[in-house]
Order: sequence, then C-alpha cells, then structure tokens
Amino acid sequence: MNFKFFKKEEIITEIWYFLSIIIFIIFILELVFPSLVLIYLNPLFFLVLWIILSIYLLFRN
Amino acid sequence: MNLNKIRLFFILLSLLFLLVFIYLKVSPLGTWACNSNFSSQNHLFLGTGCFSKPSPNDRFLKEKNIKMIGDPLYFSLYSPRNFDKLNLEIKFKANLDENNPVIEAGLLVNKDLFHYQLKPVYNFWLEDYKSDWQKISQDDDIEKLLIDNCQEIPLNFCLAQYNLDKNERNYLPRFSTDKETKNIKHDLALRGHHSFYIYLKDDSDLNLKLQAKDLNLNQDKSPITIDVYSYNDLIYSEIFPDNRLEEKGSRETSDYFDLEVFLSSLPEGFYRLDLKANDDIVFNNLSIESSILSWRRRLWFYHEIDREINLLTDSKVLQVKVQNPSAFQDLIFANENLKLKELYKQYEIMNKDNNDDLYYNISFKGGGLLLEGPGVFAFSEDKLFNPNYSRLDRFYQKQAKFVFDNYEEVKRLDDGYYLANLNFDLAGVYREDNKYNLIISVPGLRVEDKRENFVEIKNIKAIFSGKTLFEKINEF
Repeated sequence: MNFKFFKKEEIITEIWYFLSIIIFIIFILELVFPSLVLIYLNPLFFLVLWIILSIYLLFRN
Repeated sequence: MNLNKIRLFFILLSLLFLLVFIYLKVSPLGTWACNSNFSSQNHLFLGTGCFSKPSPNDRFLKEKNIKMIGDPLYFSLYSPRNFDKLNLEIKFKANLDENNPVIEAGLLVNKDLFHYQLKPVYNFWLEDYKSDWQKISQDDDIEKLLIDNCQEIPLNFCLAQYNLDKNERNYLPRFSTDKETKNIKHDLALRGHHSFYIYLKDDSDLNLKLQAKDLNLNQDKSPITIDVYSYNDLIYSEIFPDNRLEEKGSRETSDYFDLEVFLSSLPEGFYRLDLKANDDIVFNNLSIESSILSWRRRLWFYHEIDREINLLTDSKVLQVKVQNPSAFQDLIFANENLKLKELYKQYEIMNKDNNDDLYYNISFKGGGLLLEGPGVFAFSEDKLFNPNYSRLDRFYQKQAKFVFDNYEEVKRLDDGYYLANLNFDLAGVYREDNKYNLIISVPGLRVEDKRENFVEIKNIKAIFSGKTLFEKINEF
C-alpha cells in the first residue's frame, strides 16, 4: 500500500477511527460475553494507544 | 488508492475482529483449546490467558515457572461455553518423596461441600519407588492370591490400591465380619458432613434415626442429604430441605429435628452412609441396628460437648484442628501427648512405634476438635472395622504385597520435565461466570515444613470438546 499520497494526519485519523471501533467492540463483547476478550487481548493497550492518538490529533488541530 | 478504501479496509478488519471473537465464543466445531505457559513473560497487548494466576500467593514462588511449595493451589479456568469433556496436559517437574508422594489435579464439583473430582497427575510410589510388590490386574484371581499370601498381615494392608474406578473396585474381594448385630446409639454432637460404615446381616432392615439442628450462621440455606452406598453403588438418596423462611441466616440455632431413613430387606454386607450437610448442621442422637459403626476419615465434635471422649482408629496418622477457642486442650494419641494451643492450625501426629497394632487409642477432654485420618474411627473396638484396602498415598505403610491400580505413568520428556495427561467428564462440574475451578494438590506439602519438596509447573494446556454447533441446532 502506498501511503505517500495521504497526509500523515489522515492516516492517523483513520487508525484512530479503527481503534475507536475496536475499543467499542471490546467493550460490547465484554458486556455480552464476560472475560472472552480479556483472555486474548489486553484492552488497556488499545485504550492507551487510542488516548495517545487522541492527544496527538487534538493538538495538531 | 483513496482514503475510502483505507477506511473500508479498517472497517472490514473490525468486522473480522468481531467475527473471530464470536467464532471463539460459539466454538462451532465443538472444540476449544488454550495454553498457559507460566514461564513466559506478560506481553504488552496479550490478555491474561484462560488460566488465572494461582492462589493463595504464599504457596508458590514465581521463579522461572510456578514453584509450588504449599498445598493446594487453586486456579480458575475459562471456557467460552459449556463442553462435555476436558483434556488437561500438565508439564511439570516433581521433587517429591515418601512424605508427599502424590500430585492430583481436579475440578470443583460441589461448591457447598467443596468437593473436587480429582485425577492422578503423579504418584511417587508407582513412578520412582523401588518395591518388590506384585502388580495385579482384574484378570488375576485376586481372592486366591490374597488368601495364599496374606496370612501374616491384615488384608487391608496386604493389597494396596490407587485410583480405581467403581467397576475396577468390584474386582476386589469384599470384606465381611461375623460381629454380632446390635442397636448402636451415638449421642455425641457432630458438626458438618460425615460418613460412616455399617454392616448388615442378610435380609436386614436399615433403620437410621438421628437428629439435626441448624446453627443458621451461613447466609445460604442448609439442606441435608443422606446417601446410602452398598459397596460402591449409590442405592438410596434422600434430601431433607431447609424449611427456614428467612432468606439470610438469622444466627439463631434451630431446635433439633428428626431425620429417618428406612430401607427394608437389604443383602448382607457393608454399607456406607453419607450425611451431607454444610457446617451449619449439627447431627446428634444417632441410632442404628448394625454389627459395626465406623466413621470414615473425619469426625468434627461440636464444641458444646464437655465430657471426655475416647475413641479408636486404625490409622497410624492423626490430623487434628481446633475449631473453637474454647477447645484448647491436650489430646492423647497412641500414648503420645499433643498440646493443642492454636486455633485452626492443622496438627499432625504419627505413631512412630513400629508395632503391628490394629488400632490406636485417642482421648481428649471435650468438643471443638476436628479429627481426620486416612482410616476409620470408632468409639469401641467391637464397632471398628475398615472395609477398605490401603491406598498408595502419603499414609501408605509399605506393607503391600500386591498393588492394583489404574494409573497412567507420566511421559518423561527430553528436557527433564514430565507430561501428565488428564481427562475429565464435565457433566455436573461446577461452572460460574464461564469459569471452572481447578485445584492442584500435593497432600501434606506445607510451606512451614521447609522441606526441599516442590512441584514446578511449566505449562498447562486445556482442550475442551463437546457438541458442535450443528449438533446443538439438531437438538432443537
């Protein structure tokens, strides 16, 4: 995939959207099927990544 | 490539993420496996794994692997849905000896009675102990072998068994006694679940009468179940429900109420009666027609008893726990004096005399003590009889000439570790919040003993199997 046509912010924004959806899915899955996601993934990792990207995007704009 | 395509890619990735987890939850092929490697470091983005950390913390050391130094260790084991079978592969190293010869693992079956379905992982006697005993199987004429070779030692000790299932136990010759039948009365209050043996002559009635009271200390209700076993078969079970109206325990002790079990015209033989109840129930005033009355492995005397208690056991080892602050006292076991000064501490006393006594005296001043041992207890010699063969565990007294076991030896791996394979039937196993409760037990392994013995657990793999999604749909 050639990313040189896109701005860095655009890609980061897309990743931010993706992470938001993933965190939402993890949240819903944990509500419906407790512990299912937690045994495979560490949601904190995704949350921290999402917060870092959010802060980055906030200050860029 | 435009931005929409990247967005579409991420949306598809999110959908795939969702579908993968739904697939794992449903497990449509009817199997689900997981592996917990206790030697690996935690990864930043990976989850906890299907096995929880072991507990309690003081019974293991987290070195390269989990080094178990106290018994038992508890784990919880996640499964995404109900399955029928579980296969556990445990990779471990055992540094054990005659004091702690057995490793067992199991799943919690009854939460109230704290009862686990245990399977052997490792047995020192059958793996590393050099003995000249003869291994026998169900194809041998066991009765003849015992009659010909067991004149000098009691039958109980001449043959040792380990991990026999119900069918295999039926190949062992049954015990009998010519002791006279009498009406046995027992007026000492006993707390919690108990089990005892009786012997009935041919065509006799089983007529058990006893009383019970409920201390109402626990929040939960306290039903009582009385099970009757003929040899290994459950022949009768009756549940006496707790009829209290309050939802929570009132802490008010109920009056004694009557319990009765009557079974007519039973064939001659030993019967085991299990009084199943939680610690809120106190049993008293038992009456039964039998030749013997031998309490199996455990007696918990209610603390309000204030008279001297004398009893006998066929066990060389006695474990005692003070269950009430008013019960500190001296206990005499096989002429040895034991000072009981600490609450809930498990005292263990072993008769070191190398004599061939068939039973040992126990005496103490009052209630509040929990006595446990691998044999039976009785209040007089004529009521004592143990209808069981000795077991290859830590109480084994190295007398057996024959061994009958159902034990699969561990696989010895090139890296020095052992691999044990355990199969569990999950029907009736307790599961809460999608988790099973797993125990790994090395009986007698105590942190405070500061022995060199330990078990190093490197890895546990769980493979669940059950009905496929197609089979489940077909059921509807």
